Amino acid sequence: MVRSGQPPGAEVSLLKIKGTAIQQQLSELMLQAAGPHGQRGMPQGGEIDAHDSLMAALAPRYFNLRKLTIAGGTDEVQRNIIAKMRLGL
Amino acid sequence: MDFEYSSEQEQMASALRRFLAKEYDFAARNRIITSGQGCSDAVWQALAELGLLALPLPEKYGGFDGRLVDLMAIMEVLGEALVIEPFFSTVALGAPFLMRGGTPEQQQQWLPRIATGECRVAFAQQEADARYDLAHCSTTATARNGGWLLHGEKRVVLHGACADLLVVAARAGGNPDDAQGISLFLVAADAPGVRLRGYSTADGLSAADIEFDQVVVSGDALLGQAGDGLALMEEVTDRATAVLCAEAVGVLRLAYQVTLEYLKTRKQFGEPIGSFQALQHRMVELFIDLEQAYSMVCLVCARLDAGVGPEERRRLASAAKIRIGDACRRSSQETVQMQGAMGMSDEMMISHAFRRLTMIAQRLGDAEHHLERFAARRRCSGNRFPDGEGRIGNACRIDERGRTLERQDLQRRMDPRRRRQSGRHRKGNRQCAGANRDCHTG
Repeated sequence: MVRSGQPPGAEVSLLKIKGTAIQQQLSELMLQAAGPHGQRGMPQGGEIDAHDSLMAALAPRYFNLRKLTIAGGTDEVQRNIIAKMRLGL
Repeated sequence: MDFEYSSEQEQMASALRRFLAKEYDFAARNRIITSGQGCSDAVWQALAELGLLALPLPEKYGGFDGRLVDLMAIMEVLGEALVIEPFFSTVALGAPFLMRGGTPEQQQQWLPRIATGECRVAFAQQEADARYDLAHCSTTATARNGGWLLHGEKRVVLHGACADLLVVAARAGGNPDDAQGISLFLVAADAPGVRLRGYSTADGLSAADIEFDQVVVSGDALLGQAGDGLALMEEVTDRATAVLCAEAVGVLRLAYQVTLEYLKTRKQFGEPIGSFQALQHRMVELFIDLEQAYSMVCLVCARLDAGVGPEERRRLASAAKIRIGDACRRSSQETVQMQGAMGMSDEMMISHAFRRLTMIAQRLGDAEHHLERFAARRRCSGNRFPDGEGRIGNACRIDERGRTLERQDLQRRMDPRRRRQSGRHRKGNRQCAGANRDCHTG
């Protein structure tokens, strides 16, 4: 679409809605899969175990990725765009 | 049915609310989290002075004989303020182990100290491969010289880093997943051979990985019967689950109120964003979630207080945790989304409510775990209030009627015909092993 010189349309919004949702769902699934280990934070001092630091990164990652549906035009704004540009509402 | 708190409960809750508003605002809470202590001695002493640490304890140990519905009123308020202090671990989880499984000597030794704030408790059960299974235990207990030798490692022990006393699950015999063979021990957190590595959970609570390296404990450290610890663990954690759900309701209410206020004040396209139907409908869903979660907590606390058998207790606790887990996830995601960048900001309460809700959803078993546990249960008399017992505003006394109910329930369950039936019912079920295990120990 870009190559043929057309302006980006509602497809871009669709892509953002789906792409961000998948990333959020993945991070949520990883946190759930970790079970009780998903609660842990980074141990203070001492040797940091690779498994522990991986587990400790899951919850912050899940929190952080909530931004994907907010920044760069919220999910709601993307839907407004599709409704207006594509559906003619 | 009566879903109003009694005036005593109201007074207790509003005294706590006043204290928290004055001494535990957002900045004060942050200071405690970043202090590295994991909790505040001053706040703990204040909770003791308010009588809250003694709430569920028996009167003879300085307590008030509080019931779950009383704890529920308090935990809601603690949830609203996102409190990080070890109230849940000590009062809702630790003390009940002593009250339900301890000898008079053990109770005399520890309960008065819990009441006065001198002793914080943590439940050291979780291990690396246990996931949410209480029966999984590879920490060993070896009988030696009239006492015991404990060896193993516990992971992500909630409030473990600020505890004085640990309730430790260790295996005296059998394989790591056997229902039988688990014993519980009371171990001082500073006993030789106990090594703690403390850290904060993702929602700011203190936690620890705890290593028990050939820890010597005396014979009187054993809590309950040797090898029979699972039944007590299940009973105490089911009741604690009800209390945890009450905390969740407090946090859900906080998230709901902050978001509703935001929808009414934040303007876009010249109007408050709450005037848009797209958001109105989503906000109504959160309102329904909150109401259902609150109703579920009323149900589970009042029913457990009225006295139910172990089978129904499990069903009720799991049903509550399913409802709460789902509400926590949906509500946390939606409130952050509706508040946009404000919802992501570390300086805003809502981002911390999000973290707490996410963690509660996975604490003591997530919705999937409890769905499986719920489905494995034989259908009981249903999750409804018996006539005339739907009330949460009782004074702090276990009434005679509650005790009678419990006795009748036990007698009914001990009927051999019933036991055979339930055994047949479970045959061929994938959950068979787990269900039968619970049947023997529950």
